[in-house]
Amino acid sequence: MPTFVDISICDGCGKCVEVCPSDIMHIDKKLRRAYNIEPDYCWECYSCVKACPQHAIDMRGYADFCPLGHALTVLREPEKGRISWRVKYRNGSIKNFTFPIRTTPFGSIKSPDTFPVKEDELGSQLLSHEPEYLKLAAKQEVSSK
Amino acid sequence: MQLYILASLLILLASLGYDLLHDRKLEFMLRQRREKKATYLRGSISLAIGKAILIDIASSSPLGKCSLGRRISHLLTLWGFLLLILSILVSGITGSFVISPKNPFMIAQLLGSLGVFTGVIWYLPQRVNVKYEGNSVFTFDYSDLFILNLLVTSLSFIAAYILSSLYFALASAVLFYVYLISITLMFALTHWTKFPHSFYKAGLFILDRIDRERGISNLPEVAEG
Repeated sequence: MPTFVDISICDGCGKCVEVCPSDIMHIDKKLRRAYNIEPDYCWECYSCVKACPQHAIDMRGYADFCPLGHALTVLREPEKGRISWRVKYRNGSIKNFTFPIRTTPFGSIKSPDTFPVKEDELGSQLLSHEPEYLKLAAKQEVSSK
Repeated sequence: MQLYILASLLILLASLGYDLLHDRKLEFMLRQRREKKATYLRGSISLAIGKAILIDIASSSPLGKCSLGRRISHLLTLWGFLLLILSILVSGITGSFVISPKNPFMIAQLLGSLGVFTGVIWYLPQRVNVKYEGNSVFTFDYSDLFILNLLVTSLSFIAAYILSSLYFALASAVLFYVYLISITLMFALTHWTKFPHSFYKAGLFILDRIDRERGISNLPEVAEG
């Protein structure tokens, strides 16, 4: 059982539709609420679960950490750099997990358009800022030691 | 007019009852309530209800998590429609329902209709199938029945008001009947459109706030540190 939407909580904003890599999150034709049109094709990547601002999407966790059957909900807090999971097992016991999701402060990563464009290198076979960003000099230094 | 209001209310109650019973929505909702067990009572229930009404319903704050545009369009439509319905109710009950541009109830309905019209037009490009699936803004499908109904309602009143100001009495009266029929049709089509979300969502917001006060939540407990 992959992701499923609680339509009473969903408000049809479409963030899950936009993010789903399998293109299986669609909007219901009558209620304008999201639903998983083809659960068999769900990769269980949980992108929709984490993107949903209303926490309307629940899912089954992977068997290695939820072997007894369960209900799984998630709370993503990117600004605080953490994600929390709540697993309710079939026997009624509940476990909560919180994990860090990044090592740098939220908003600290530069957007590609903030890097300078080198007009003379546009025709080059190298990718942007190669070779200096590959730090080849440091690599050679380590390997020579 | 009082007969029209009574008939419309009865139609609304009947169609809402049908919607609740038809696909066992009521049974599902009651079962959901029974399964939720309170752990403790943290605050006041009345405060929770007050917060739900003011924050979640009256100011549509949950929609703000999606986008500001959706929230504004929803607020315009919600308050416009409420103003429109309350004006009809009060003027109908007090017997002051007169088609005249100077009647304060007609001015209130005009403001309400303008709110609904602006809200719906603002919402059209923000629909998921338009914004994320690349459809044209003029694409309409079954789920748009409700907003089209709102559009007909608001436009017919705005046109009726303008014609009435220009002394086209007959045309204004015809459009006025279109406006009233359109509202009744919205109530009658409750089961087939998105209209019942006005009641269900409002109820759910209140129950959700109460649940949170009682320590019931599906969301994870966050480990600080």
